[in-house]
Amino acid sequence: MSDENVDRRLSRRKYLQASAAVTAVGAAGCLGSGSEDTGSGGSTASGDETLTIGALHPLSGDAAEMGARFQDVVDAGVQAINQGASDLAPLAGADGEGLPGQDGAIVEVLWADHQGSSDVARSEAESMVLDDGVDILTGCYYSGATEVVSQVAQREGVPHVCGTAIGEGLTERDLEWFWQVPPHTGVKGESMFSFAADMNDQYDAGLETAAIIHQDGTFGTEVANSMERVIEESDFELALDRISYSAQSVNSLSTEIRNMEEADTDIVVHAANVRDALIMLNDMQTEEYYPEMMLTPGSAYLDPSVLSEDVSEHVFSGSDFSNDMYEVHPPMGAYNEYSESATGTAFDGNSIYAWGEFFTAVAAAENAESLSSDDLKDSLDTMSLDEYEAGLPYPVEFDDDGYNQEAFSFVVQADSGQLETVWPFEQAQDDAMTYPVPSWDER
Amino acid sequence: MFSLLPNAIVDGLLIGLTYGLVAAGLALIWGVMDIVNFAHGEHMLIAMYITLLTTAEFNVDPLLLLPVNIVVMFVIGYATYALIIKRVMDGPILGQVLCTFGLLLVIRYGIMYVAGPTTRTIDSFVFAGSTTIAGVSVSFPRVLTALVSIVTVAALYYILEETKVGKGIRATAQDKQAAQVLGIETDRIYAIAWGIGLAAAGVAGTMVATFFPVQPEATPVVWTISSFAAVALGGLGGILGPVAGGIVIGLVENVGSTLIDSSYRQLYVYVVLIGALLYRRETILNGVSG
Repeated sequence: MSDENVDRRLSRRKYLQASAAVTAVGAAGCLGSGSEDTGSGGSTASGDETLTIGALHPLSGDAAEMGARFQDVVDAGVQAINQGASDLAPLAGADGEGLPGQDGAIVEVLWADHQGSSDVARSEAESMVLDDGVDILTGCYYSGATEVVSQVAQREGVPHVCGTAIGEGLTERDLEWFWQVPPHTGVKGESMFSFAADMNDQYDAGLETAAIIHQDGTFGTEVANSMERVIEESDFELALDRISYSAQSVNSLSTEIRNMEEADTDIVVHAANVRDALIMLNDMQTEEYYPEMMLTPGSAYLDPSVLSEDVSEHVFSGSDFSNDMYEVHPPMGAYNEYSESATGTAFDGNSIYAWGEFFTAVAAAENAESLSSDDLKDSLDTMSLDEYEAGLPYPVEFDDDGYNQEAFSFVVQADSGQLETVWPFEQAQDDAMTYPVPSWDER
Repeated sequence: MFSLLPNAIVDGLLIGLTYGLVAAGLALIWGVMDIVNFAHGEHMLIAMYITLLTTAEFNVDPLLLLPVNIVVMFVIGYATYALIIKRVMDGPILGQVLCTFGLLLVIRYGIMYVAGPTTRTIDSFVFAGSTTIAGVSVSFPRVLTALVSIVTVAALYYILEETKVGKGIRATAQDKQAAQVLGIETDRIYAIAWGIGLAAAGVAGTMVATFFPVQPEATPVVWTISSFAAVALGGLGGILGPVAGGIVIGLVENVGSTLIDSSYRQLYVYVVLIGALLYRRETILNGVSG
């Protein structure tokens, strides 16, 4: 074994120890007056077995802050399993200390930072499987990293549960060891443009044309592919050819904005990272241009650092999360409160994916005959979870390709830094939607 | 498409002047010492974070921090040479490259450790906003940044051409040993050149932070990629060449994006750059002059 591998493993071990300490301290400090199952604080389940989950996410770079929130909500999830949190029923594995279905086995999460690099993701995944012997791989947010990690999982025969990457093609590669939980970009696109069509039907919005602008990474390109297909299959028309830009070097999108304005675009679909989302909105303000509808596939536009900016007001996005979803989905509110009390981190449009990813993996283990790879695979192949069991507002049941055919995306609108459900209309709170969106001068 | 050309030209000039300012600081150090400061973008980042954190904490307008950042960055530049760069000056080129690359990592991740990886923007700026003149939309912070770039470049030009220190810098850049024979303290000149180069980066960092989202890992790359290209295009022969290179790159990016396809913005820049280098290969590695 190389020194590099030794260092990497030591690093992960240290992180695991630190996570365990944080979890114990959190349990003692935050849950001392909580439910009876966790009142003793710091106690752990007595099972001999351990479910070891390898979590590969971007913990540095543009997405580092989001990666830190992923860690927080998953830490809360680990605490809920190992300390027990029966109040969170029907959440998988939360009833009692450890996993009831595995004789009280505790859950450990090993983290690795793939830095947004597919090469790093591959080597970290191999190390996790071959050196650390993880039972399940999770991750990886970026579709490119997810692709290569799923190939490692396929080669080594270890389940890879992906709840954070939404690329449409991820489950179309004949992989037997890969399962995708969230709505992929195609499903998101269908929700987004169903919403736009419903706006025409019910509000005479007069939306006819759309433009797609995207960063040139795997994520942006996959979103653009899916959106283009959805638009072509709908009654909407593309106002101009899709526009891509370098995610690394972009410092202005004024030219692109003017081109969209000149093409008389009603709907602008933007697939972006946090930085370019802010550039887009600021440049739109400079150009005094705003389309009839800014409609995004989520991601950066759901990030708290974008939502905290005034320019993000009134943007519509496809999302699995909104701040008012707890009115319609009370268990999600309970999960959010638990996460916030355990780690100080509330759910947001991205971290909810990590929560769902973790609990889908936990549910697979909970319902498996044993923690062997084959039994975990069987459990995932036959999984049929009701809504909330995997920590998500929709059920989880995979099709033959490993895609969660129950995944669903609703549409939210940014309002004073919060996300409010606006579609399906029956799930929206009264007066949640602002439409038509006021011009920059009127804000 | 052609109706958008005036907007593209204005955008190109504004962003090009900003590239030019970053490139001027880079070229000064590169031209005088034959050392490429790979941490130039990260030095900009220091000024950006001083600006962001101070404005957030004390509600100070970013513009008031401009002189502060000039002084702070000059001191950092002077100290960087005296304490670090001086020790690798006579070593192999690889050592010099690793040294400035090491600085890049230390600054980048040091800032991330202190300020976190969050993408930040300035909360308030007295010159925030935009206007439309003759159908061309312009952002006040970008216009102001371009104006500050012109003033800074003029100051750098004056320093290099008219002051004793500037003449010392030019003399040292042309022939270090001859300069020493004439009684010029070349070590001190190098330290001052680093100080001036980083002060220029400080000006650029302060002004860019007024309109651009800042993140420790991603932001420096955006500004240094184009600025390295500006230096390559304009040459190391002085301050004005890189500034002109920056303006050309800004114009090519924006006009190309408007007239052809904005998806290939980088392609236009590098086609022009490669063409210019093939045509004028001798532009790089000339001595420093105004």
